[in-house]
Amino acid sequence: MLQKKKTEDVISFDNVSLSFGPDNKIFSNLDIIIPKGSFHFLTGPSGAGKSTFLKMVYLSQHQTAGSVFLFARNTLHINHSEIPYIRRKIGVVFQDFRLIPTLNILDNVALPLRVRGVETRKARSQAAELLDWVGLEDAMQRSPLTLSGGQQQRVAIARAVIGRPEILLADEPTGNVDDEIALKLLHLFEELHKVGTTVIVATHNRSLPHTFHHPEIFLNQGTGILIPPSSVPVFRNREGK
Amino acid sequence: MALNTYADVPLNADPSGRFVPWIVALMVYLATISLMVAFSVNSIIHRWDAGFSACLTVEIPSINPSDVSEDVDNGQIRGRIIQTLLKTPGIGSVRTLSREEILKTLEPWLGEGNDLSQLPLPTLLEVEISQRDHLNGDFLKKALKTILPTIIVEDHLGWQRSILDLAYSAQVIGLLIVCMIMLAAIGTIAFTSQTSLIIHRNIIEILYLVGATDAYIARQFQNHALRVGIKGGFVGFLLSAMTFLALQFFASHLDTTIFRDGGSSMTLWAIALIVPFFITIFMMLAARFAVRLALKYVI
Ligand SMILES: Nc1ncnc2c1ncn2[C@@H]1O[C@H](COP(=O)(O)OP(=O)(O)O)[C@@H](O)[C@H]1O
Ligand SMILES: [Mg+2]
Repeated sequence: MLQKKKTEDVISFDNVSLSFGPDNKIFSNLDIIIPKGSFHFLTGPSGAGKSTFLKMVYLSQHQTAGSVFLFARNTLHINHSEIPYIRRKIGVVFQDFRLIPTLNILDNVALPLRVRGVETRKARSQAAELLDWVGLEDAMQRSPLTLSGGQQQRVAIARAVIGRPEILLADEPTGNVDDEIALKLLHLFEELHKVGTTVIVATHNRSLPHTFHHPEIFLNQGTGILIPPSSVPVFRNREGK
Repeated sequence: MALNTYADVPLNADPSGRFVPWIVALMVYLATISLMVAFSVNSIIHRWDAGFSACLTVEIPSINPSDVSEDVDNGQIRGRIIQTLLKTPGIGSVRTLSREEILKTLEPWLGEGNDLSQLPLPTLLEVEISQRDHLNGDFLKKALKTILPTIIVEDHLGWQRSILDLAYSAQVIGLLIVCMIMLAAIGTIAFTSQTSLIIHRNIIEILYLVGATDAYIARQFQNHALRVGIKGGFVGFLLSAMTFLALQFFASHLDTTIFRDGGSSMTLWAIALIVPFFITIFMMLAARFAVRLALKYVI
């Protein structure tokens, strides 16, 4: 058991198990360390627990055994009232985007700043810059409901990064877009990684770690294997994409 | 500040958002009118209280010499009664009515121009009360009856007390109505806020995920209550202002100063302005606490 967490380990899973009921074990004895400023792909077949893993990082799901450390703090010891402040250091691109349909995309992107108390005008001008960065500068007043999956994906990315998070989590960001756009999105993540953000991209596409030369955490049957970038063999994933 | 920012949670679009401002308008109107009535009754009570029973009347029947021991006469009895009255706390002065004054009050019954010089008349004392709070009417009556059992003290206190009691209860009922309306307003907002919270669960969850605190979410509902309060309060104010102006108009055709004298008119206008203000403040607090409680224990 690791007693003292190294501060450069921004996330660490220490002998973590999680089960939803007796016959539904998702993880058993997971040991994973994510150093600060690293870029990992989180892979595994559908249902392997990638989304659930990310949930544990953004404090939406607790393990049933073992310890998770986030910013060198045991997540079980984080007070309910502290959670919002910790979440502000984590940007998440959700698999289902989680945009607010009644707000236009400019206000959706501005939201993380507004909940921090940034005044509306300032939050909107920063949101406009980010929408420009993801190539949606012409759609700012539109409702998310009128956008394609790929466009919503980019709105979700802009919202995830507007608060300059220390950790960026992306859940299947390339799932809804064609290859060309997927590459563009991943280049956005690369940019953030280069300025020091710790990035975890969950994907079932196992060719991505190879293309981008980043380590892969492969989840399968409740365990996780860390595969360094150089040793990733080139193969197509099971779904054949 | 709250009004020029947009709402993250679309509370205005809720079904309840459409009728709650009207309910609030009605509540503001009823509370304002109740308070105005309570206040007007209060000033009437004060006026009555000042005018009421500034005096009492003591009637000393003429004494039949056979009724009493021989060593007293009418004059002595009257003297003792007047002395007792003057020593009683709260009594200002005592005046004996002249025979002419008494006859004058009897004229309607006896007719004019009769020779009444032989009529045995009681002695009437007009007693001026200086401090009513200090006067113990029952005690005084007892004291006077020990001097002369047949004495009659007319203090008007009984029926005046009943009217005052009635007026006071009207006032208390008015204030109770105001309290109940306040409670209803608080309840309405607390309930609709919690309902909206459940309707907009998904949005609330997104707000949490991007780092919103409970306080931030509660503020969304508090700001909504402010908007509802301003809308409803404004309509309620217009209704009560119209009612008040109408009452003033009718009162000007009647011989009454209610609603018209400068001081109370100012106060009534102040009531019309303050009630929507307070109801709005209460609703904001209710929304905030209801949401924070719900976030803690329900969601
Ligand atoms: N709250 C939950 N209750 C029960 N089972 C759950 C819950 N969340 C996830 N699961 C199960 O955990 C497994 C992993 O799900 P998920 O993390 O979404 O996988 P992935 O993202 O890799 O496709 C699935 O079998 C899913 O049904
Ligand atoms: Mg998933």
